[in-house]
Amino acid sequence: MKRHALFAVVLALSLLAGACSSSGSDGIVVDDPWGRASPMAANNGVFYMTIEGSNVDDRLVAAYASVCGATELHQTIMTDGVMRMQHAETGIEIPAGGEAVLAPGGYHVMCINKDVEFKTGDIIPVTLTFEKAEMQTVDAEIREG
Amino acid sequence: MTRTLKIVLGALAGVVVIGAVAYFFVLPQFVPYVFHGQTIQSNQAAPSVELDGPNGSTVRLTDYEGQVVVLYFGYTFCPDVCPITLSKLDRAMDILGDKAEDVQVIMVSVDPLRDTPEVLEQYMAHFNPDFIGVTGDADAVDRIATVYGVYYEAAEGSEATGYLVNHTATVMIVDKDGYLKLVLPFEGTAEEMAADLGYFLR
Amino acid sequence: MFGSRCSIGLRFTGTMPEYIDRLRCRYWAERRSLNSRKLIWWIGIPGVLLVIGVMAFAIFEPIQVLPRIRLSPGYLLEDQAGQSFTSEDVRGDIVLYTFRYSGCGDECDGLDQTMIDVQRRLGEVDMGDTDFRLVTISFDPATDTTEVLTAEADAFGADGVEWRFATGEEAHLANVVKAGFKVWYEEQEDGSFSFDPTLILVDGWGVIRGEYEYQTLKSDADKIIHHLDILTEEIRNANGAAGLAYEAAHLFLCYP
Repeated sequence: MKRHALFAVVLALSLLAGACSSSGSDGIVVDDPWGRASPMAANNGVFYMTIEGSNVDDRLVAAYASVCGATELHQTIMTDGVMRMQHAETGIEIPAGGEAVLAPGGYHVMCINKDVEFKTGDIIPVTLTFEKAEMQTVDAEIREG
Repeated sequence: MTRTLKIVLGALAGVVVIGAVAYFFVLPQFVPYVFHGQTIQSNQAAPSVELDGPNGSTVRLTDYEGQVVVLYFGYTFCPDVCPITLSKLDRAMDILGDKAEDVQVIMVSVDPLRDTPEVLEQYMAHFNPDFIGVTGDADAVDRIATVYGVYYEAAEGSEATGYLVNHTATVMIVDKDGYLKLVLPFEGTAEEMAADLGYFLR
Repeated sequence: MFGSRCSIGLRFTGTMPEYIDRLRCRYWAERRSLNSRKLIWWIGIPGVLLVIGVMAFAIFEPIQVLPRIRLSPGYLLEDQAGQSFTSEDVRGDIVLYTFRYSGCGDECDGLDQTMIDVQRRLGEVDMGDTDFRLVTISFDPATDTTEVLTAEADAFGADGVEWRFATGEEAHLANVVKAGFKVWYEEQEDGSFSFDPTLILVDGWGVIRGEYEYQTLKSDADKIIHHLDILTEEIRNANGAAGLAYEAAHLFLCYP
């Protein structure tokens, strides 16, 4: 009798443990966060990444990096040779099961009034705030781009 | 192998060799080179440029006669598009190798309020020590951007950014004799730019 | 034809020296029979055909092109509706520009009539997918406010889409019109302007293709419509191999 009870408890506990860890595969995953190398003469820096969606529609609403005076989400729009930058005030959509791509020439995290030079090889932590999912901090690697 | 067969094979080999020589060496001389942008065949020299460059110098387009000049209009505040173009130009210089000595890349800032010559000097050096940035007072910049077909407009940014400048992101190529010859679109690759520049460096 | 003396047959039989003898014999036989008549056929006729072909190409000009004169200036203006109007708004369209001011009297009649005429006769040209626009730029922003421009535009039947009236800041206008379009204008003491009546044709890539100093009504509109034809033809056909032919035409032909 005791053995059966012990077995039942162990089984119950393991099920609970399984339930806790299952959220990992349905959550938001940030791939390849990186930033462009940039001298101090350039006022602003930029970060890019690919964000894989969770099982629900979500939105990247803010980003923060301590080395930036202010951090904002922007979109570059190129039409017929003209380059425009727009502040993505409502954030960047991350469709369920899809992905949001922040890449050169498109969406990007703009690091305004940066305090340090971005040198190739540096790692800069960037904290991402989502509408629904939990905040995540990723390490952006600085590259030549 | 009979003698006839030998002759036939010999003739065939000869045809193949001649054909290969013709295809790889002779024909390319006759096919016109196709550029990756819009060509201009103006018989008027490219509009003069006279702006403030690094170290308090005055930079004139005529200073670079004998060299191919690449003109780009941008500003240091934009972290996304302008660095892309300058990186591509730097890679194009790498591809050109020694020939890059005869190419001068100049960025004209369409944001003279924020981009002083000192800022520009440091900024351009980050991409390539030979690149230079120039600026001037609002009217000088306006005249040069206008005659080079570049539209630019200060647009509202956010509180943090202040104003942002929308602008035409094309790259102009002025040949060794000072004639504007080619306008490359922003989307071109470094390889395409190097190929087109290579044509003017012949 | 050469007689059996040479016992021709180029097939290699017998020994090498014999074969060479036969080749030599045939060579000399052929040389003797080469006379002027053969020369006429083999060299003269292709030569004549070539000359005729080149002349025909030059005379009939199956491919005509307008010169790429220089880049059209970039600009930031305000149109008759008070909206911002830039050079990028018309990228991809063929545009006919002219330059005037509202105080212009009789001296502008011809110029204005040409614009109206070109717009009216646009149906004669197959524009394909390209849009055509008319833009009248006023170099008198002090007088030509938005209201004045609207009144002017209405008088001309300029709808603000196909035909826009626009003006801008004085300093910028000087750069755009004088330095960019190279059209001279100067304000006189009495507030009127002296200027060169000019029309300028720009293609969709922002390159100036035609500059027309106004002369008489008919010849100007005629010439512009004819040039529009040439331009749209080039736009339609300049793909792939045909494109190469057009590039060659730019390099080699005289301009119409």
